[in-house]
Amino acid sequence: MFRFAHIAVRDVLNYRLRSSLAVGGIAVIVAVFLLLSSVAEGIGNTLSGGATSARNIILIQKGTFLADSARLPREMVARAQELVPGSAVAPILYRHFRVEGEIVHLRAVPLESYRVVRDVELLGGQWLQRGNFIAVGESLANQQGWRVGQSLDVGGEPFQVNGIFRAGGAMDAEVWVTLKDGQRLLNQIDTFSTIHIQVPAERDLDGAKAALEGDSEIGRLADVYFESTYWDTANRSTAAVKNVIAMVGAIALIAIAFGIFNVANMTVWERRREIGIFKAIGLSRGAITGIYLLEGLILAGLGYLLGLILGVIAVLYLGSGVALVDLAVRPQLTPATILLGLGLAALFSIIGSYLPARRAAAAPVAETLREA
Amino acid sequence: MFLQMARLGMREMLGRKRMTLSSILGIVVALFVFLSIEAITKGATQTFTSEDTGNLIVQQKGTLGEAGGSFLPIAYEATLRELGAQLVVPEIHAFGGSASETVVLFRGIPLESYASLEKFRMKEGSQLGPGDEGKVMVGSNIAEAKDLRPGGVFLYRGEEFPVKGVFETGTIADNEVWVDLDTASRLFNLGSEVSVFVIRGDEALTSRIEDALPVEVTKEFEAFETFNRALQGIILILRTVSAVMAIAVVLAIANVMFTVVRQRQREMAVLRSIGFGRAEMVFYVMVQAFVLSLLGFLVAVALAFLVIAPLKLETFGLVIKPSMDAGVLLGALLLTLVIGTLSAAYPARLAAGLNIAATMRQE
Repeated sequence: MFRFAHIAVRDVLNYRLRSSLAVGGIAVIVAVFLLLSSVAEGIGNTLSGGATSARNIILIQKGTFLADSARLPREMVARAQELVPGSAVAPILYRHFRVEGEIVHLRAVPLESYRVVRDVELLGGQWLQRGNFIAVGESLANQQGWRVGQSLDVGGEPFQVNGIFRAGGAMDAEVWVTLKDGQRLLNQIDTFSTIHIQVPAERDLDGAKAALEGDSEIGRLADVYFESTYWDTANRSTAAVKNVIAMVGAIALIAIAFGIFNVANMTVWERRREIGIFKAIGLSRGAITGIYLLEGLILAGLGYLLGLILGVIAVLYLGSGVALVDLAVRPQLTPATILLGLGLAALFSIIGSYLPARRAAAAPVAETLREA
Repeated sequence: MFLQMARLGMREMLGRKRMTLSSILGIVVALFVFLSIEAITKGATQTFTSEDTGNLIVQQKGTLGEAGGSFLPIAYEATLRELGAQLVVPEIHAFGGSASETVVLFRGIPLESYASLEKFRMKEGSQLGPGDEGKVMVGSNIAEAKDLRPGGVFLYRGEEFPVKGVFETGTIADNEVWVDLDTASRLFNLGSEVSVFVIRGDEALTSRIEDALPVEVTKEFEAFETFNRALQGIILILRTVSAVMAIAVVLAIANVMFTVVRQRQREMAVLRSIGFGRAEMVFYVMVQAFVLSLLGFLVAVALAFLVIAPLKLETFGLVIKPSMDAGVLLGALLLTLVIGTLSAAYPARLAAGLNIAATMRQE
């Protein structure tokens, strides 16, 4: 197949217009596939805890997977500390809330314990402090154009943006306030939405979870999750949407087969005299088939490279996140997606060029030379 | 003459059956992608459909009461009546379910008074009334997704709730399960609190309420309209991406049309020399491109109806049904016409600008 590669390359170069149109078309298809796959991947990973500690356990009111409606009694905090000695326990208030007229996730966190439980990187300004200050997640800040020092309406009250943070996952689309401010804003003093517990390294994680589940009060009122399990479970809810978008993106690649088929068909028809001569001088059917298969692969390869560049530019452009209701979807272009796209592009290119290539190879020499 | 050119164009396409079929299939793929994205995004938008019911929602300030997260003392009911609200219906709205797959949007309603304000029609069975404590009425989307019928049972956290009826509102409420207020309060451990009060009133009443209580008053479904607006960003991106697929098809069909023009130069030069004009040459190219595009459109629509339209995508208790309505089909048809026009434009121009003498001499 590669012995006569120079013939395939020459054909691609000789028919510059046709090749350019084919490469351009394939590039667009590949870019569409990469972008849809990246968005699908982003949707599937939107609900995550980011750089979360693998040693975090979450308590949430039984039967309320979404924390807005959850109400855990404040006594549960002390009980959790007794059951898992040495742990950092952070009670959280959590609500969909109106900030500057936009609906965002509002998280009220205890100043002392939350940064132990959660890896947070401060990108600008300062960490939270009491007195009508908020910290804004990176994605949300970029989407809304909110900056440190800016005053925002939070549920009808003015708050100042004290800092911009990165905590990863869904939290980068949140607004954080201190627990005290949250209790006042939400008028919720005696209950919490969730309780986060970071189990110390020297304690057995499964044992800690079992102890919490086995407690009569906690076991009766709360569901106990490892934090990673909680987010994995949450992400399953978006699986249907994610899979359909990814599937549609993959279907787009099928168009490569038809585009390559047309190009190969046209080339074979116009080169029929030359093909007749090749066969007359002794090139095998396999060699001739290989030439046109290679031509298809070259076009697909060039198209894929160009499409990859376009796709990467598009993903970088959307990098800060696209709003999906109250979440920020960050398109994620993974190596697996790139390799899958390359493989499928090559496969569809071979499928598209195979029939014309075989027909070229099978055509009788005398007829071909006479016709041409 | 144009009819003759149309016949010639059809003959050209039939003479290259494989290429014609391949071109049509390429268009089918692009339009199928477009239709899929359009139908799904339209369905997602329609999931959050609201209606102007004239009802107002009294909710905790800054929250989305209708989506859960608002907690108001039941005692506010009396205060609202004192402030002049004629009809006051306390409701509990909450997403229940201990796993993302089992999340359901609940509405706790007072059985004796909810029908005075809530607009719905019964699709199957009968509506809840006094004495139906512990039974449920389910929205048509949830009934379809979870196969719930009157006489059946809705299972939630190990408890069985007999299904009395299936209702339809044409709004997001079709994703809800309605149950009596006391049962909802027990399920969500709300004690003497509710999520919202549904009332009727004017601006003056709204001002009185917001001055007297730490609440805000919005129109019904405003929470979900907010979600809908927030969805539009990603919808725009997906729709743009799907429309961009058309560029690939334009390039592919243009490739085919260039080849047709080049291979038929001599024939076109002969036709020009016997009296066919430039317009006929343009028509010859355009008719082929349009026929390819329209055939691709028809097949893509049929495929989309078969594959995409029956889908039901469940996410966080909401059912998204792809919508293949007239708007979506019209958008696809428009895109088809754009594909046909753009792909044939330059090849048609070449065909029209053919130098007859030079072409005849060359061949």
